[in-house]
Formats: sequence, C-alpha cells, structure tokens
Amino acid sequence: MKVKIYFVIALLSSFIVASSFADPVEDNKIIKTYFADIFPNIVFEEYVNGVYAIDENSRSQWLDIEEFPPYEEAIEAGEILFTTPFKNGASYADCFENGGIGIKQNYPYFDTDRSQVITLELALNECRQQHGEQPLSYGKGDIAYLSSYMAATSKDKLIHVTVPNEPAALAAYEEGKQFFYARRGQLNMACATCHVSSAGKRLRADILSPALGQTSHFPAYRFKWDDVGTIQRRYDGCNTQIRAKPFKLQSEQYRNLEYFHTHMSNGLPINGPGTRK
Amino acid sequence: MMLNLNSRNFIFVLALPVFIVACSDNGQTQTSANTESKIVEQVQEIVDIQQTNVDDLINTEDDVHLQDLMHQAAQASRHAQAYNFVWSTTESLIEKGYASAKEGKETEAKYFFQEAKMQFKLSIKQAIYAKQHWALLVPEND
Repeated sequence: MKVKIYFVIALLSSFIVASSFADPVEDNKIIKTYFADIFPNIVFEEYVNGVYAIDENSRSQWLDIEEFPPYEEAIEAGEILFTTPFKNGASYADCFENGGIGIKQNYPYFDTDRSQVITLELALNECRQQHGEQPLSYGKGDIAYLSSYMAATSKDKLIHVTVPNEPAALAAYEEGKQFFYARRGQLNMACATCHVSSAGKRLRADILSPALGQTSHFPAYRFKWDDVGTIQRRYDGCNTQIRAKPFKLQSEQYRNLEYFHTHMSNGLPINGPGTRK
Repeated sequence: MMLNLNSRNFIFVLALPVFIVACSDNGQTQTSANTESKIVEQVQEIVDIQQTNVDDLINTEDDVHLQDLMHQAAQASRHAQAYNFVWSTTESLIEKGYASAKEGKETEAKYFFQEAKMQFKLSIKQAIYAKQHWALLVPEND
C-alpha cells in the first residue's frame, strides 16, 4: 500500500516537473488559432508577407517594389562570398549539410552536444573560424549577404525548426518565449505587445505586422537601413525603440528569442530575403 | 503525517522526478552539467529576487554626498545589469553625471545620478514583475 502511495506521489511530482516546461507544438496551435481569429480572411501561407498580407495599400506598393527587388545585389554578393574558397582551400559549403544549399528552413536548431541554440549566422562564423578566418561582424554586411544567399537557395522550403524533447532545449525555447512576452524598456513593451496583441493596428503611420511569419523573410532589405540586415539586427532596433538596452547580436538571449520566434512560423515557406520599410 | 512517511522516503519521493528528467537526457553528460548549472543559476536568481529590497537602492535624502551618490548609482547599476532589463536611457545618465561632476556642477551631477538610480530601480521592479507575469500576454486557447 505504502509503495503505491509513493508511486502516485512520484508520478504527480514528475508531472509537475514536466509541466514546468513549455509545449512548443501546443504553443504553435494556439498562436495560429489566435491569428486566424483576428484575420479570418488571410490564408496561413500569406503570413510570410507580413504587413503586406493584411493591408491592401501597402501590398500594392510592395508589389511594385518587388518588380526590381532591392535585395538582389545582396544575394549576388552572398553567392560570391559563399563560393569563394578560404585561404586553406575549404569553403562554407564544407561546413553545412547539402553544401549549404536549401537548408535555411532548419535554422536555428538546438545543438544537444553543446547545449545551445545555433543560428545560421553563428554557424557561418564558426565555419570561418574553423578554417582559420576571422569572424564577420553580425547584423549587416557580408554576414547578411551570405545569409541572404542561403535564404534564396531555400526559397519555398517549409520552416522546420525542431525542439528536442530534452530539458536544455525546452529551457532555451522557454527563455525565448519569456523574452518575447516580457515587457521591458522604459516604454514597458514586449515583442508581443506590438506583434501579437496589436497586430494589424497602427503605430503612428505604420501598421504592425503579425509575429507569425516574421522570420520567413529575413535577412530583409529595409529602406531605413538602405541594405539587408539580419533578424537580430531588427531585434536590436525593436529593443532600442522601446528604450531597452539591446543585447549583443548572437547573445544567448537573442539566439533563444530567434529560436522561439522562428519555431512559431513552422510550416510556412521561406521567402527571404524580403523587402520591408 | 497521515501517510506516515519517514524523512528518507520523503526525500526519495522528491528526488525521483528529478532523476526521471535527468534520465531523459540521452546520457549526455555535458548537457546534464549545463542543465544542472542552469537550474542552480535559476534558483540563485529566485533567491536574489526574494532578497531584493529595491527601495533600499534609492536614497531620497537631499543632503546625500555626491561621492556616496556615485557609489550608490554604480551599485544599482551592477544590481540592475544582473536582471538583464536595463533601459537604454540609463547608462547615459551616469556618463552625464560624471561629466557634470568634472565641471564642478554638483547639483546637476546629483540630479543625474539620482535619476539613474531611479531608472535602475524601476528596471529591476520591471524585471521582477516580468518574471512573474510575462505569461499575461500569451494568447489563450479558447
């Protein structure tokens, strides 16, 4: 009898420990249902187009811009960088699965051996260092061009970010989730304040895009930047706008955020690089 | 206790779920070590939050010495940095405070350091609140 009681208590305790971790699959169902309720006329695949999926006027301007896409030069520059061998004769292709072609949809991923989230930009720099090259600075420039080229080779592949069922991976996902939903900065705003609760509403002259699909089109050419930039460069900008001290690009905080943020868009096609205001 | 659990058995019952979770770790010792250190960090963080009396960081006395204010602002900064919720507006106030002090503008310098301390304090309060209530913005499953 006593053994049975212990077993029941242990089972209950296990349940409590297990339930303290997030359920990524359930999270995705909830966020997709949430946006389907807010925007009943938008089909799921359209979320990759961000605000252009929900505002007709912005969409027509964007379609005009796409006739001569401003990110094309970035893709070309990225291809040259990607295919140019390092001093030791190796190249980026040697560091990635399938020679680095058509793999962006699997990033970021959780490296269980190193117990951390690996983004595409981090992997690119690790590849450089592995072959005796200096790492590139994050956010813009060559790293964004390389990433743009790799995104272009992954066009229409469905985002497939996995969260292994092990505590460290779930904890990284959970930390990214908490970052996304926690209010911060002097303006006391979370990522979710704009891109979940207020998606589709106006912030001054801009319409706020839904969080769903946001990572699919990065790196993105932004007119404000006059160049392409990575998603983490955008995180830096968002944090600055709400008057929060931004984290270093590729910090653990931003990598975990990117992990959660990209997982949210699982099942949507890669359409980066994209064009945004 | 109704179940008549002795302390050794009770510890066993509490330890079992931790053991189960640890076993689900594919036997990767590196991962286990990292997870363990993360848990230790998280527990320490909770202890820190519980022991924080953020109001102590602000000295509202008017006659506080400038040197003391500088020291307190630096202390508040260290404390706030640990929470990772520092505002982008705060550190420049410290710089302005030092610049004013260098120019001999003591009243102005005191204002900047006091304001910086206040912002550090608010960012800590925000971090504590966010830790407890971040889930309020998560959409609910109807």
